[in-house]
Amino acid sequence: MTQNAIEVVELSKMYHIARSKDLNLTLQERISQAVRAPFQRIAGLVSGNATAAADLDQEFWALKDVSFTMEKGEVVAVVGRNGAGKSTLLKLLSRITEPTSGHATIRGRVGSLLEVGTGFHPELSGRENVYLNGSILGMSRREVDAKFDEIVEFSEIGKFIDTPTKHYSSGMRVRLAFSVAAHLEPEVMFVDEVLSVGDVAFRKKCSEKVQSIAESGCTVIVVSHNAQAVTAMCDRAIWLANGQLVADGEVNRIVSDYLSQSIGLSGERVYSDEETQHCEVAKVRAVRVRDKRGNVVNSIDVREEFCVETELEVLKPNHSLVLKYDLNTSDNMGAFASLDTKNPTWQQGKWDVGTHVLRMWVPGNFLQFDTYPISVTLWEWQPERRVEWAGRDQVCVHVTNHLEGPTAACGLDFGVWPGPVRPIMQWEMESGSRNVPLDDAANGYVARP
Amino acid sequence: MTTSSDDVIEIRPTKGWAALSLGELWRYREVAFFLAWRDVKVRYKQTVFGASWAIMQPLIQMLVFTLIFGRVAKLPSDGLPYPIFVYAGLLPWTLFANSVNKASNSLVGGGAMLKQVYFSRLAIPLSSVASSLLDFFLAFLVMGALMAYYSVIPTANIVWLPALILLALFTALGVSLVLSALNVQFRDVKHVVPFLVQTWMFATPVVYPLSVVDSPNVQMLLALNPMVGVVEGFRWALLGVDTAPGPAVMISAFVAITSILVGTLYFKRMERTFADVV
Repeated sequence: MTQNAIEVVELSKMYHIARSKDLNLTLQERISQAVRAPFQRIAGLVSGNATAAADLDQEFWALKDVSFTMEKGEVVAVVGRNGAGKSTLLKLLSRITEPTSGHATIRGRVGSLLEVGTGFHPELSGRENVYLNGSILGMSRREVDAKFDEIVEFSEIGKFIDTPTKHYSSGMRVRLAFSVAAHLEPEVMFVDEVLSVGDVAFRKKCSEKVQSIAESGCTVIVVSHNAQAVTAMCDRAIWLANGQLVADGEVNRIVSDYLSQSIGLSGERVYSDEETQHCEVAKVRAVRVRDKRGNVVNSIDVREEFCVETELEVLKPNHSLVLKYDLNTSDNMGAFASLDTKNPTWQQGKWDVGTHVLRMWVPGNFLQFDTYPISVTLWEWQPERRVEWAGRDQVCVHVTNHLEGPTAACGLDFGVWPGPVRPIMQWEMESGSRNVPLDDAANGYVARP
Repeated sequence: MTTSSDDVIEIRPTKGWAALSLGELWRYREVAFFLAWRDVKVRYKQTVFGASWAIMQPLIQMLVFTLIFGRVAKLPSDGLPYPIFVYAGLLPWTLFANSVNKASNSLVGGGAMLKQVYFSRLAIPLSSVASSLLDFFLAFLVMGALMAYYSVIPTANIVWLPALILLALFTALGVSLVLSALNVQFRDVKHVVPFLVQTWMFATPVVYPLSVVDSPNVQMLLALNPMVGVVEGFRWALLGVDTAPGPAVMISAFVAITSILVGTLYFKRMERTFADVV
């Protein structure tokens, strides 16, 4: 099929929000306004203008001129901060609300998983709710009949299927609800953050299910804040900010750009004289992240090494300097810190006046899939031990996911992988009395050196 | 399952008075069915008397009205025993009143659904109205018992009963569509409905016969209230009251159909903002 599954053309959605109250009105004006307001509302109401009737006259564009197309079978992530318009986009595409302008065409049966368990009634049994929810989501009764056993099995509800859902634990309700939605078999699917429901085991099951739906040729749009899940599932990402499309492209690039931007850091930072004016001995000119080909980057494949580079200008001779990097995880935990201890000038060496570049190389297959803000500290070691210059979170590097092949530390997608680092470890197995190093690279093990 | 690759959905803003798109309602008929079925299933859960409430409601009302309007106020009853006279009126009235009460709050009550899934929104108030039918049929059994007790033999006019029931449902739906859509934006509706329904009842010949009004012209004017035709029609069809309310029913039917059209149009017009304001 040559036709696109989804075509979105300049789609926009405006909301009316309440105008902030004018506090400078006189008492007389206020009274006259209070008297007039109900009549104005009624007038708005009669003319079918709901927003005028509700006194909401401030315009707010939740989505503005967003255009993109998707081929059949494409899996696209929508990333952006809260309030960027991600959910609005999905609501427009699933026809829950109407666009203010622009239009979209969707080819195929649509299933949207915006929130699980819509229409679930606590007094009804699990079985009854499956039928009710199925019909609300767009399944015919016959389809539910055909899928019923599968739905119950997936939900792990088992014998409780005929118990009223009010006696279910919240986890059970969510499982059943997701299970119904996951068996919709749509051709076009919209998923909004629903993967963050249930316990860890069920979340994993959900994300596998969504992935298998995606792999079955379904066209999918996913909204998620989980960068790991998104990069694992999608090939392409769309970045929204303030209702506008900022970028559209390969998922790793977009996600890392988005993450760096959302923490306000990129892979390079150049300093003006003003920023370093209090430095007496040496000035930091720039901090950069480079890949092994020397390009300045803000994202790096988990398998590849990269370096953090600092350009220094030493102003005064006869001082020894030390540079230190601190890498934090995106949730502000320390990942590791490093000093340039290999530098021959370390501790006693004197630095020449002029420009110096220091690089710290971080090996591949070491850091986790995450965004690492990097803090830089420049110490003067001799003659006086003091901090010459320090900058917290100056640049950042986003380590992107790679799951396939023997070089993946966890080999499979386990969803969120714990820890700030993800090195490939050497494993061995002792069978009987023999100590056997496992060096079968094809199975993902690394030989003992 | 039906793989409908030819499904093409066009999303664009609708302007002005939208098309009725009843075809879409037909597509989502199962949703309407399941929602009505849910209402019915849930209504008497965790009650001691269960579905017998459907009978007790009009029955107790009948007893109270008989005492007050029959015995104390001595209202006329077209020569029939007052209890059966008032019950024949309460029967369609309760159907109407319950429908309007439930349906006018249905969209607000189903707010989560409006925000999370798409289906024809008409299905929501429609299912509320439809779910009132079950109560009606249960209450109808009492009517049968009363008729047996008072030895009232239904006339051949009883064949018109389904049409009269439909008329009551149409009226209820027309009113509910407007009220439910209004309720989304203005919760004032919630406070107005009980009062509106009660006033409407006294404006309808439920506790008194239409014949208390002498002038036929005034009778026709009153028939602009579609429930006049329904209630009078019920008495005529079930109890054989000799005044065939033909013209009144015609006027009522015309008003009811107009109200459902206006109601649907208004509903469709307001529908596009439901998810944004509910």
